[in-house]
Amino acid sequence: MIRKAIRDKLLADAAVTADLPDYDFGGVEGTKKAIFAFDSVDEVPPQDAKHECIIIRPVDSEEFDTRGDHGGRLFYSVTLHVDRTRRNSRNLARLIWLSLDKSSLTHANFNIYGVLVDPPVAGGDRTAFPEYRMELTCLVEAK
Amino acid sequence: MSKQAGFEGAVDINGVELDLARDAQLSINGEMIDVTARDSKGWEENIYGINSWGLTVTAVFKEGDATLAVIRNALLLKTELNDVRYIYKDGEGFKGGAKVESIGAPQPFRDAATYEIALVGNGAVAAVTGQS
Repeated sequence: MIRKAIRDKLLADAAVTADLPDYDFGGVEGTKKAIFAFDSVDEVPPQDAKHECIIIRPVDSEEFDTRGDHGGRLFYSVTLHVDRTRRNSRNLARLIWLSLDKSSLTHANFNIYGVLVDPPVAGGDRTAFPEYRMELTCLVEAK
Repeated sequence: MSKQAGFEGAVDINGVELDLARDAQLSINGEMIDVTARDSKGWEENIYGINSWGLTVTAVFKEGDATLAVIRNALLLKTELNDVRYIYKDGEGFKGGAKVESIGAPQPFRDAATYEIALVGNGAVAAVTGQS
């Protein structure tokens, strides 16, 4: 629901995007920094996307509303796919964490609050490419 | 009247729904006076004493919310909430006047800030039928 808000926050952070490669998203969006926001946990970046790139995926959600407002607690993963030749990726993962943790995210249809991000954890995807993964949690209420 | 979930009910304060409420619980208590004596044949005996009622509500804190302000001011200014209603989905429930005994305001680091409100009835609680 708020993956675009997370993506927009990262795209607006010059410290995060400085070292990210561009990607041609096509259509209206055109060429932007390689930050992908997916609907599904199974989606992967296009094969022509260069590393490093950032992938935002929904993980889970649960009820958190009041008697008057619709709301929820949302869980997202933010993953930095890393080029094996890059040595500065750990610092980029740190910058992503600092950009999102306790940040203000804006959305047309929801008020978003309580944005917390766990520090990045190094790992590898199924193709053994290294990655840094962070878990983002926030509360939302319908405007 | 059908079965229903808790979120389908409402807490109204002076005619306005406290729509930030999450959990709410009404308690109606009858005080027991122990009159057990040697003629009680081994069983405790009680008679009714004074009844009382109270309401506890956990509400998500929201800056500038008018109904939370009414509750907060009632405690700070030591005034009564004249019309407190605890209503089920179909309008049945209870109503009465109450005073604000306490407002807890936790700010858990990884969760939403809330108000934990304890109201104590002032006088009788009356049953509400339908939208009366």
